[in-house]
Amino acid sequence: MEDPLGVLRTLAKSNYYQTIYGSCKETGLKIFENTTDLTFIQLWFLSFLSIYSVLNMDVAIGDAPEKVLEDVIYEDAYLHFKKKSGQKDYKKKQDQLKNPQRISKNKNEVETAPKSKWLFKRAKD
Amino acid sequence: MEEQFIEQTTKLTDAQIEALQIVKDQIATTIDKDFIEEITKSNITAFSHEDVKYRITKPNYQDKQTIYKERVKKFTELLRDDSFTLEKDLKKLYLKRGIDIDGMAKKITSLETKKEGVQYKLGEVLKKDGNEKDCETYKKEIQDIQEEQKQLAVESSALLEFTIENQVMLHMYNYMTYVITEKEVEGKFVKAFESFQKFMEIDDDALMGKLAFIITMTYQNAL
Repeated sequence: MEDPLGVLRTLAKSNYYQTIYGSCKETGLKIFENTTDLTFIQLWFLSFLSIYSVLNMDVAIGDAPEKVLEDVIYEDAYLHFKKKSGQKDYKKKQDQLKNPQRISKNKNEVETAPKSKWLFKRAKD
Repeated sequence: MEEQFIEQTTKLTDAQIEALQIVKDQIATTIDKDFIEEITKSNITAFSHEDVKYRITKPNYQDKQTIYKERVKKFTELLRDDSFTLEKDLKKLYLKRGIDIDGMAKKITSLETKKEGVQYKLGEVLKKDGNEKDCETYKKEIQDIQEEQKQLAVESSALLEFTIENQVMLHMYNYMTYVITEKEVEGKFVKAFESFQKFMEIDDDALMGKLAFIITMTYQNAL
């Protein structure tokens, strides 16, 4: 017996299901006969459809090489890297917003002092 | 008695292994890619077996209540039976014999972290230049980790097979199968099995395997 989740991945990756998934919002095409009360396997399938939609999009816009789609281990690794590096970028941006004076870094990633400083002097009476 | 119990739970006899293989082969011939695609299409699964059409539908509120009551009943029954042990007690027993089940779970988690580290590196290489040699090395590393995780999970699950919790879960799957399986008689779908007792007496591994597969893949989140 084939690994059921492996079979689901293959189906979700296929042009047939990716086309339906990609156009179901616009055309009203249905992936399943039921629209509510999804089963366990249907939830897995939806999750795989979404994963392959992201992967195909990244390959199409040149964010990921086609090699990624050669192996499930490559697919998972690429998605993991994308998620983690995205989290890193987000955290970095959040830190910058919280501490704007710490954003200055040179090419060697060494923090430097802010380029300009404002000096406020009390106005003389 | 403890030693005998551990001996029984950790070793399968040749006859048991042979029986398991026969069931596995029978299931393998009936469950293929087309069948998996078919059960994904709808939340009502219908299939034919030896000229009888069977149907499995989502358990409704009443079904869930019946299944829950049966769960409580079975749990209480096994709790009174001295030959079954709770998971936490069995773990202590194993620990005395040098088998650390919680340690296995921790090992699986630490392997997951290790795997994620390698996945990150592989993802980075793929994004950068897709160097064939590096990709293959990382892929092999991930495969090895996954294999180790699988071995540990199988071992730990086999060791805990006879706990009260696992036996109750197994019983629930059987009971749910009995409750939600229907068969077509004269154009109408009726309960497939007269009673739970009759269901448990069925000597048809192919049918049971198919039903078990469908229930696991469709409604395991209903329990």
